[in-house]
Amino acid sequence: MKKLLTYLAIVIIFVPLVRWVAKPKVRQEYTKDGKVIIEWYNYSTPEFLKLYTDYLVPEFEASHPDIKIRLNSSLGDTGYDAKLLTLIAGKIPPDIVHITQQNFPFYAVKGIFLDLNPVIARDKSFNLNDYFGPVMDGMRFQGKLLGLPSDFSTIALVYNKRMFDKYHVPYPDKNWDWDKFLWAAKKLTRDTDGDGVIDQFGFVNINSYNRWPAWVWMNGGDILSPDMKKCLLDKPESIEGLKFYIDLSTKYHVAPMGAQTLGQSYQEMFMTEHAAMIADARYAYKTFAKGMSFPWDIAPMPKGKQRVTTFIWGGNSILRSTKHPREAWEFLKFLSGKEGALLNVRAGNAFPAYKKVAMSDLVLKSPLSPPHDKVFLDAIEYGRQAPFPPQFTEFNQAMTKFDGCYLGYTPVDQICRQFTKDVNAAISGEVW
Amino acid sequence: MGKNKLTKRQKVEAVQGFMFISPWMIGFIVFAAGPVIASLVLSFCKWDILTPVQFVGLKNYVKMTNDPLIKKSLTNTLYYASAAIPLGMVGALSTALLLNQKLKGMRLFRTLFYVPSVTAGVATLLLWMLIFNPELGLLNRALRHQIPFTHIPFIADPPKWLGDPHWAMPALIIMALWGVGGGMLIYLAGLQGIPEELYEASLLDGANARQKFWYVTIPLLSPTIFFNLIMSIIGSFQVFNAAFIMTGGGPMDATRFYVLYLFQNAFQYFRMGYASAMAWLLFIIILILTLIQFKIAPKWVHYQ
Repeated sequence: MKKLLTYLAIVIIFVPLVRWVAKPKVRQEYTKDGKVIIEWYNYSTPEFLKLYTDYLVPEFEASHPDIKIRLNSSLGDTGYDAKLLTLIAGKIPPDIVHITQQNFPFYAVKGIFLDLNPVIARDKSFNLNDYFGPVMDGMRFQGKLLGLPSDFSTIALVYNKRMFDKYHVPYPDKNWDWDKFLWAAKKLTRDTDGDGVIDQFGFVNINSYNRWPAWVWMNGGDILSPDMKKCLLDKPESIEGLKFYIDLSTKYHVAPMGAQTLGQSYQEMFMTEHAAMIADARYAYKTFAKGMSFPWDIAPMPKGKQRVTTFIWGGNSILRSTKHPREAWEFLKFLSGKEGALLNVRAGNAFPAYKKVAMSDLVLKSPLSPPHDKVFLDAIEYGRQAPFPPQFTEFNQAMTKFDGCYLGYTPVDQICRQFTKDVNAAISGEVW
Repeated sequence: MGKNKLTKRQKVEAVQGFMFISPWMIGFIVFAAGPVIASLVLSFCKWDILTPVQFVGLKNYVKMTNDPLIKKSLTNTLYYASAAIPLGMVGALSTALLLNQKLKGMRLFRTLFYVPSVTAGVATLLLWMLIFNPELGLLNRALRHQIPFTHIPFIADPPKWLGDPHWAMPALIIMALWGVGGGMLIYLAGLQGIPEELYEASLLDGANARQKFWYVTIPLLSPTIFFNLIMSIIGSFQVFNAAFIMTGGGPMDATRFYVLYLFQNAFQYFRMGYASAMAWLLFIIILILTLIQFKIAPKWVHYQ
């Protein structure tokens, strides 16, 4: 009896305690003077956050006196998703979140973003044609428009003019094909001090899903069927395309393999003249602005059987759980519209998705621009978004198998077939 | 009944005792016991945080039997444990024996050997990444160094360490030795708890140094060894930081430890249910190993 009482006492004390700790916190919906609070979660670095607090938010609040913007930032992209998921799981989700092509698929397939199609149909002040179509398509999933892009860049070839001059290699141009590219990369790969170790490479073939799909497409292959029902990476032309890209380091040795990067990132390799060419986005200018001791320029990616490149973007999505979709939409429009575009220009953040600003001199004649800056913008015509199926998690996990190929341990065709098998199994629901 | 009756004083003492441990108790119940129970429930569910929890019965456990990475990660963990535990135990004990001498400046040496266990984990891991760098790293530079008076290097083509699927695990095992300071400290305390008289007695019996070690030190140190053994088995099964920071589980899953794979399932692939099921399997494995330990212990552990 006494034991029972003790247990009872424990239950009486601790259960409310646990419940109190686990009690969902309620988010503040309105300010004291009745303004709607819209919480915007983003992963701005401190310098970006300053731009937001100094320009973006005051400008918006001045033109929308009934809305108050609350910033919530993860300060950089590490931990971004973990924090967002915690906010959602803790039932205090933000109203609008910053998203990029990297983590968009994960959320898109879970259906937590508001479909903007009906919203746009109602809003006469908004015109979809003000934006680059292919970039907008990047935020579409199964017919739904799940956000508005704010900035983007295609991937193009960035090259070091000084190294090209030094080895008398003609600069890359739009007529370059794979042979020409490989020939140049070979000429630019050098063991400068003669110790038997390569000191500078022609190219860097990073293992990234916003790079290698371009080479599969260039060769006429594909990754997924248009209806996302079938993986096509085991088709001979797909395998051949990816194999060429990986062979650049494992077979032709014109790109660093594994530790040959000496721990440098591909951008650092380019900036320290350890690599003559890299495939990069216009976002890199911000990094390059920190110090480039040589002249450099931009050229289109070499064309294979067809001209194509990948692109990357950043944008914002409204969470379906928001209690104020109308106000959130106003802020979303603002972020992607002219004002947001100008802010992106000020921050040197690639191209705004808003056409009028992107194509203005403000961008193309910026102090950061090299002579052929416009290549990035022109490439949007043949730019493609790396696709993802609804089973994104399994798709993503299957991709880790390619690591061994880049290290030269596993044959590319074998992993392509394995990948296709894994992805098809995930799509058909055999694995979950 | 009457025997169990506590005096008033004892009652007050009991209440005070509970008060003293209550910060820990509350912390345990809220931050550990709650999640532990939650994870047991979740292990029978499918949950990705964003969509509602879905009950799937034993599916997570069935899936584990078909998942090649579960097998691979368990093998990796066993490989690591079977090499790192003996090396670490012997390393820590021998260091402790060396540092148990009565020499001038011994405190300095003790501090030096213990410092690695105190310094921040991630920073030292980054340091080790530099050491293991195949081209620039300290280790391979030393290995490539020429043998004195010749032009022949010690090893012309040293391993790529963390970049090589066959050498990544040995690299992590070598690195684990850096942390022997923690075990060493416990051994040192154990060694100093051995009464001097026993050594004197053995001396009178004509024991030499080796006999003293095997017949006095080891038996009297056995509770400490036992403690360290259990802790290092648990520790090796939960090894995570090194692989998470240094290799991410690669190259080619060579360092994908069980707990790392669990973490990746939970926080990278957001399969909370599956990760919970994995956690319970790990708990059962460690529990069985520890129970075996306790079963065998009376045969070799001597409490004074």
